[in-house]
Amino acid sequence: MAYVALSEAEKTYILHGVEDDFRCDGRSRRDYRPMDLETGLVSNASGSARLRLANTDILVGVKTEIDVPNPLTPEFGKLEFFVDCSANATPEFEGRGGSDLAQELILSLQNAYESPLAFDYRTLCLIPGQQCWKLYIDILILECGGNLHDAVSLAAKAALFNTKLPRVTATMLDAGITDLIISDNPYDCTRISIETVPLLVTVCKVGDYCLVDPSAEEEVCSTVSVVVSVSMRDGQAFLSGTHLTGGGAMHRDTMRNCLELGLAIGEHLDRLLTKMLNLEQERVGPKRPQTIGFLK
Amino acid sequence: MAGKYELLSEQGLRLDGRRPHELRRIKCKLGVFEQPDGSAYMEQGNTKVLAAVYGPHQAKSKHTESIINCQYSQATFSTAERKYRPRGDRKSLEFKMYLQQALSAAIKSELYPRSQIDIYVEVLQADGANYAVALNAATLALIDAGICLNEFIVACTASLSKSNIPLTDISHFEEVSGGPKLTVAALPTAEKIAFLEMSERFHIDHLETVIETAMAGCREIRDILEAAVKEHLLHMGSASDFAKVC
Amino acid sequence: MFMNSNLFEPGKSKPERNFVQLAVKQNQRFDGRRSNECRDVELTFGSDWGTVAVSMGDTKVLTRVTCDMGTPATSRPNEGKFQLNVNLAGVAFLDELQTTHDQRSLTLNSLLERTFRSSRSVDLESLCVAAEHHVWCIRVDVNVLNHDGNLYDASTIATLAALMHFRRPDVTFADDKLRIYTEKERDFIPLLFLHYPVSVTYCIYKSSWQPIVDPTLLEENAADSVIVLSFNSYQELCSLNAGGTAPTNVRTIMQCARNAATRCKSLVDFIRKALSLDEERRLQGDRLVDGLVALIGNTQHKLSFNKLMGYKKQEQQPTPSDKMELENESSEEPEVEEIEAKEEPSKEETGEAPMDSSGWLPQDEDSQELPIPSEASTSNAGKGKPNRSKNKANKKPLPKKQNHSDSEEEARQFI
Repeated sequence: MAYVALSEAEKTYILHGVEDDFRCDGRSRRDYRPMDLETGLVSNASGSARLRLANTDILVGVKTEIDVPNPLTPEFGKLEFFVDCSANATPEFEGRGGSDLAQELILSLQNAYESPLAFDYRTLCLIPGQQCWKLYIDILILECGGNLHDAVSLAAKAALFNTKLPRVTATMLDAGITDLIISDNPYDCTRISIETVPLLVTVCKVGDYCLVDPSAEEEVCSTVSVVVSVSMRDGQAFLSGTHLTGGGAMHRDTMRNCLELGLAIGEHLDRLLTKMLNLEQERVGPKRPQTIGFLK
Repeated sequence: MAGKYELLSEQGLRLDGRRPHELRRIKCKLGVFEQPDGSAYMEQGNTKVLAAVYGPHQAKSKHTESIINCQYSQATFSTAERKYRPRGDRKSLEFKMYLQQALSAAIKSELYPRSQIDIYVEVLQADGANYAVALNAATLALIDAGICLNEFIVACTASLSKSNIPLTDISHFEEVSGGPKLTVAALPTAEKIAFLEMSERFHIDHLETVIETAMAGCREIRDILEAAVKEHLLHMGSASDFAKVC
Repeated sequence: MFMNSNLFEPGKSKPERNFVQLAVKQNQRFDGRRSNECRDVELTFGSDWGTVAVSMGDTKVLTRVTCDMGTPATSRPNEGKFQLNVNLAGVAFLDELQTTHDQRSLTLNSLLERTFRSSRSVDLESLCVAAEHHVWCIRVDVNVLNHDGNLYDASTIATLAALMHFRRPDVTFADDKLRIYTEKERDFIPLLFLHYPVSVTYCIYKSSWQPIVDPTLLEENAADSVIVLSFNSYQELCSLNAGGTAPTNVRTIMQCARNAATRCKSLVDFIRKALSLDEERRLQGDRLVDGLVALIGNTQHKLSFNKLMGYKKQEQQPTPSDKMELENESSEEPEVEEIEAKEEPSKEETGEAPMDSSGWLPQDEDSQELPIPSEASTSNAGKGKPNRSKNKANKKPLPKKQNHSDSEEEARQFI
């Protein structure tokens, strides 16, 4: 994460605040910072989303490609993540500087999306064993203000919601080779169902208490945090992956509490996100906002 | 020799309906992010670029003069075909060098000895004139950061249609259709050129007209940028009452 | 331009820079050239088709062109492939660890790509044998052996000469069978060109508004801006690159462009002549140049620009034959503390009146510099090109002045 220098006094102050359930910006341990979400910003990508979580700014673009499916899973499509830490966020990310952080994020996302119950890869299949969609989810980190995992997963989910896969028809040629015709009409498309798509929730242990949505300063104070990936199915929250970061250790009970907290928060987040996305989708025609994207 | 396609129709309109000397629509905003010392966002037609400036801060190496460090990077989803590497390939390194050259002509480096100014440019959507828009965004970001410039440094592209009519501000399709492409980074008021690059070929007789067209484009863009800066100042200064400074 | 290069090269330190700037302000250069004068270009062709070594003063570049059969790119199934590879190799100049894409090789690469590939100088469609299956892939390897300023010009001349010199094998494709003929069976075929580009480099300094052409390493490193122009023989601009810390105005660039156009044309003519000479030599069965050392050392086979172009102007001259290259200008040494040497270019030929060193006149002097006509030149004499100084006042390049029949001028004004 971006390096924030904190003195001992500041760290103690933050710790005390967390203990009293009143953090530096007045939030409780379970509150998220205000978020701003927009979709459909990048016209070159099949789907895009921009999420602004206080100081953290993430831009996600989804690009689609037709590819041959993995022979071990002939009915599944493919998903590939790529995280780019832009130097806009901090000069340390210049050149290859952000590659460690990027790798970590990619791994947590891959972990979360691995299960076919979390993300239905069958929807990406075109012709079993021969052709399938491959989605490249490219995440661009523009500003680092703490809590990257959450922001990244929220933005990725929103971008997937926004993705429009062009409709594909197949014609049968001789010798059993099928030829795919991709529709040119930009409105003739299918969408991906994102109900079960997982969200990552970072539960941070500061002192003896766990909190969600740590800011950059709070992250420096914490010894260890758990990244919980939550996937909703039939109104119930399921755990689709966990990931421990930081160099500390956690007691078993604390771990259980963190997981439960993560699941509860994740369910809540998911509901809000879906509501937001549906609202966003209705803002077409005369209801379109005047300024979009970075011009706001 | 212009490219394979005629870029001007019989009515004298280009592919996107512009006249030969018209620029694309420009929208820009200063101060987009809080973390960098200066930041700006610029849209020229469909090309969207973000620029961030950090500095001046202590230089990493021991140098008595100021160091201007740039980075040009393109998001992987910025082009129609997915770009495999955002930066570090030859084209990005070339643009980085050109950015450095152009900006060192504009920044008053004698005021920042032993310091380093970092300028990072991120192209979110590439639709022609990437370098030009990147440089314009960088200028705005430098102004937002409060770094002293000799003058606005503005870049513009120009081309020549098959019938030898100069075109200003070419889009991506006009670029790849094979016509000549000239990019000029200039200090418009001083009428000096800080950087000039040209590819494809055309006869030397047309060179002067094409350069002049690009310079005229630069002057127009400069007026637009200046208006944006003044508006930003008004907006920022209204709180602390220095709005009417300029 | 090369901002992060090391300090071991001449021209990097402040005193050197100031010195060069002052010298340029007074319109003086270290090797006695005028601001619009170029160094002599020497070409040596190797025994293989497509091998050329070029020297401009101490700058030496070796280029090799090879070809191979390959499959075309899917986006262009009926075009051959053209690959350009530049190798600076650290031999060219003292430096610390070379990174993969250091600035010098980047600019050189970019320039060569733009001059040859983007402007479509080689006709790639003629390299297609069978669309979508077999095409010729041409590979050009440019090796810089010594860097004494003006790599761009030397490389473009070397690349163009190598490409024009190169011959590829003949090939037939019938009934899905590819047959490549050896040299003994069928003659090799040269490449087809759409146009012939070469480049000219100018350096601009903050202290004076006048650009100097063909800089040496010292001048180049101390320069504030560099302009590289490539023209082809039809006076079409193929690529242009101007940049640096000293902004220039349009007029300067246009002036440079006009002068560059004429020089490029004469350079292409020179290459053509050199090629025809080489071809004659091969037909005569002359012993060809063997090995790298022979190629770049002082051999009998060097073809000098001054001599060949000078020959062109002289009607009385006998058919040009290969001569030892005569250094008719003393080359400058890129040393650190160079005392500004206002040397008169010396000649090895039999006596002629030395040029009056009024060569330091400001650029709008031209006709006055015509040399004092001397006696009949010997066949060994290196003839210079007639004066064509760059004249800023009039915006037109002066017409070529024919040599008065026997006069020799030492001041080569190649703009």
